[in-house]
Amino acid sequence: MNTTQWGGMTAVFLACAVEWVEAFTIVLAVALSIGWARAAGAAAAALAVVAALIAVTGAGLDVVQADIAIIRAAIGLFLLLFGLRWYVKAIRRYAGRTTLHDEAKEFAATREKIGHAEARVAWAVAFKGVLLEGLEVWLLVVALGRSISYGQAAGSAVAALLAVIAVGLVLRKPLTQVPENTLKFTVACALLAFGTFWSLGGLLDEAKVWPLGDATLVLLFTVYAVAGRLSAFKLRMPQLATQDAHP
Amino acid sequence: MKKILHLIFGDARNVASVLLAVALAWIVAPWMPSASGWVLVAALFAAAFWQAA
Repeated sequence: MNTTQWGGMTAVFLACAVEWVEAFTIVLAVALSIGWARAAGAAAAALAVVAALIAVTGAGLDVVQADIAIIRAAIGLFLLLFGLRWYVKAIRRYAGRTTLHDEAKEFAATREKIGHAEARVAWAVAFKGVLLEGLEVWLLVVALGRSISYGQAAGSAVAALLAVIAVGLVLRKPLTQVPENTLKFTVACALLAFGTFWSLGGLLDEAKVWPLGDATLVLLFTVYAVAGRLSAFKLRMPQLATQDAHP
Repeated sequence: MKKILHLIFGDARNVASVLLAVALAWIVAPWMPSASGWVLVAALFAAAFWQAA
């Protein structure tokens, strides 16, 4: 496997792990209300929908005989849209402008939401929660799967799911120790690096735009990572100054 | 459906940022193809900073 494939698989694994951690929190909260069997059933039903979507899309993409450059450009643009959203969110969280995602709070909120609800409502909460997180996983597998390999991307998503389930079953509590913002920021930098490379490489002559070839991906990732952390620091400075002035 | 579209594309600012950044790189490409990629990076970073601020 080459650097691009390893990078892509790592990005899919980390991004999916973050999504599965969020889904696990919801399932855990529901399991305490309606039992593990029903909550796991709801999660399994949602995962079946996601698996079907991944399988159908994979088969569909195999049938489409579009020019590889057009597909790369389309996927690159999608990765830019997806990556920029995650990048901005992570910078805002680093800068203290948005509160960090707290699995313990999410868990408490879900428990409160289903506190007096009927079992079928709680089941639906688990199903919808896993489905929504799973849809993001589906989008990632479709986007990166076309350029690494669909099997490798789907395999990375499944590996992330199994890892989260294994840790979650051992701990039996929300996975609050997972550094979600750092993971999301890292994944956002990877998505932007792949998106930048493929969108322009697909739209224009790749050899002219990126004369360094695949090695550019590492450079792009580093630039986005350093620039992102610096901008978070810069955005945090006025807040620190205010705190110093009004201790 | 609205939630799924938001999952894919983000809000209007996000879509506008990406489209503008790519358009800018596209405009630069005929004159300086090897610089167009870095124009895209700079434009995306500026958009991210603007959105985060």
